Amino acid sequence: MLKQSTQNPEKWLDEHGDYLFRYAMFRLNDQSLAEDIVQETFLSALRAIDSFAGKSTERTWFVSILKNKIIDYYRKVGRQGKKVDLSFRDDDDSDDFQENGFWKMDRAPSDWGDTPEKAMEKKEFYEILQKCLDLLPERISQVFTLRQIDGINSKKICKEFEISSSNLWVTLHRARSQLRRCLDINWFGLEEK
Amino acid sequence: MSKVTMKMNQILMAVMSRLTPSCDIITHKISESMDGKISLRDKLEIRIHLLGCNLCTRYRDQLLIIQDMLNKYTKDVEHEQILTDVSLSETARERIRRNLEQGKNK
Repeated sequence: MLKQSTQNPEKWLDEHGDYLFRYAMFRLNDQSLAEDIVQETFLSALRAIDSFAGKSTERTWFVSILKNKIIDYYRKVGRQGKKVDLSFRDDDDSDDFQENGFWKMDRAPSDWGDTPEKAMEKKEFYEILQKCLDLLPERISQVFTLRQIDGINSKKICKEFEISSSNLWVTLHRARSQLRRCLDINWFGLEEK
Repeated sequence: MSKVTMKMNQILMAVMSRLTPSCDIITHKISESMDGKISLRDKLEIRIHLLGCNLCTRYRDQLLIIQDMLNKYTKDVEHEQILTDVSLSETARERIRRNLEQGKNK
């Protein structure tokens, strides 16, 4: 049997609208795009209302639809976009190493101290984290957040982005390395630099 | 341990880590290990390399920290601990309401 509010789509917006919008903003960082995606999510839910088995909560159901909408969007812009594809850029992590493959001293990871988790309590830290995520090249950040944050499986990502699995590893590696360096400079390096 | 054995140990570690692939390759392998599948050989190489290389050890630790922080960040968003001031505008809300109404009547 369907739960009460599932039969009442007019309640969806009040109960889940802001939540889904926030979720979409967190991923896309673009207001009108996030609004559209929330609307799309509700419309798809409406069409699929019979398939909602009530096994998960209504919210989980919406979130899973929303995630798929975000993937659809990435796929669409990927097709339209110029082939910026996941090719290497100048600020690639090979800059971190000397020719013999060892760290360059000025690019090596700095000491984050014994209790970096303390930083996690701080709200500004999230702001910097978000900024560093935004600074990643677009495609790289899309692949990285889908894998790392949304937990979409590798096979699906390879398929959607039409990349090989080794290309996926390299992309994820570069996302991590650039994120690490960005945090190193903008947060943990703050006191010294 | 005496000072001499400690020094010996350090040298041994450094030599061993030099026998493994260099830092640029090890960092790749470390990153791959975060996605699950790496070979036993790779695991072993990472481990030996880290014994004698504190920069790659930092790199590994920092990637783990970032992973933790991202998880926490995501949870905070999902549990409405942060970004609570972000909400749908009235216009957007109205537009969605209208479209949902139309969608329902189809």
